[in-house]
Amino acid sequence: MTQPHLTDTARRGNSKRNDNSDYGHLLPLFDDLARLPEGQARARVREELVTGFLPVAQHIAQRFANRGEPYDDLLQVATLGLINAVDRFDPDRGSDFLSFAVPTVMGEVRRHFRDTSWAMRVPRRLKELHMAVNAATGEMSQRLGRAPTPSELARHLDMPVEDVYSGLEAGAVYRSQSLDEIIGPDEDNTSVGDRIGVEDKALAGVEYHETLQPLLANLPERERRILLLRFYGNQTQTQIAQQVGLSQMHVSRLLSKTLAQLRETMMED
Amino acid sequence: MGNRAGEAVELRLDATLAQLPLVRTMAAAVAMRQDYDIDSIADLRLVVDEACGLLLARALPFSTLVVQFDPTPTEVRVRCSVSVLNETPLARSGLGWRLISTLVDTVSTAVFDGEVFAELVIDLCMARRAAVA
Repeated sequence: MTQPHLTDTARRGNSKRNDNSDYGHLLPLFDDLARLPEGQARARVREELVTGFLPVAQHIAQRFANRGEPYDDLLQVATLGLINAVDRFDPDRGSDFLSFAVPTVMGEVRRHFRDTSWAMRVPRRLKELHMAVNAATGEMSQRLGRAPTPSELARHLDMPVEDVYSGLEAGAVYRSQSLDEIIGPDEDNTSVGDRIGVEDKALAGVEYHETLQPLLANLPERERRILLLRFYGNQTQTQIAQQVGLSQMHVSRLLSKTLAQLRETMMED
Repeated sequence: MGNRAGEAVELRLDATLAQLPLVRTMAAAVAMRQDYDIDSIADLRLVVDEACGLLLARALPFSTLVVQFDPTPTEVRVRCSVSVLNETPLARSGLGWRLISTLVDTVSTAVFDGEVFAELVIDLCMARRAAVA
């Protein structure tokens, strides 16, 4: 990102408020924009203006960062504000573009914080309480060297402690997390939802398998062979009977006896 | 629970994960009303959530999770318990347990004989952090 350049621009912009030197080359374009009819040429000029002034939006978004909203969202909002400012600016009125654009973009970002940043609808009074409590927490932590308690906040803000409770609780719904939210940039893009565990149904199968293994090994050779032919070889009892040289009745009896025996020993453990 | 201040709270919930938000909210509210600092409020909330999470993983279906908060002027004691099928004590390895034991002053777990099923219990205690300055 172009952050270092940005702050640099911003600092210079701040020290001399009305100096448009950084963007001076863009200013004549506003006359073109006003003059040109709708069409490709005009769209190109508009685009050039918006891209040219983009650092302004970036700088303002940066100023509102670390307040609980992702920077990228703020940048989007600020950029929209900038586009609006470019569209609405009238060079004939004599004011310069930055002193028009900066309040417009800031207003847009502030509106974003006020209207859309809360994940749930919260009454205005609670929002204000939350913001007051939040601001005071930062300030007091700084001064005390530790987090303040609700009663300290109440004293500081000169409001009932119950209001501080409400303000703190309102914070819980400020931002809800989406199940589809991607965690971190380098985690192979898994979303929260993908990482929620479920009980592995196959796990019980593993357990049975492990328990059965030694029991099968303990079976007499003939019984094991019949079992294998029936359940792994998928043969009928008559086919098995021919192979092992017994009657089908006998095979049937041996099978049910072996299964019952296995089930019983498994339950014992 | 012998508590002179009369601020004890007991929460009984169906032992399902879906109930955890209620437990969290209650834990935070108890700490808040004890005027714990903001960080401790968040810690107690997290610890109780984690403890109940550990218990719920073992809880009998359709049983009840009981969370008792016993605040005193110097500390908040919390006891969480569920009915379990077998009497294996809670594993004290995992990340959850580590988290709890790091954030609280004392924590212990035990299995008690219940009327029908055994009770798996986590007891924890978080002292009011000394206010610096």
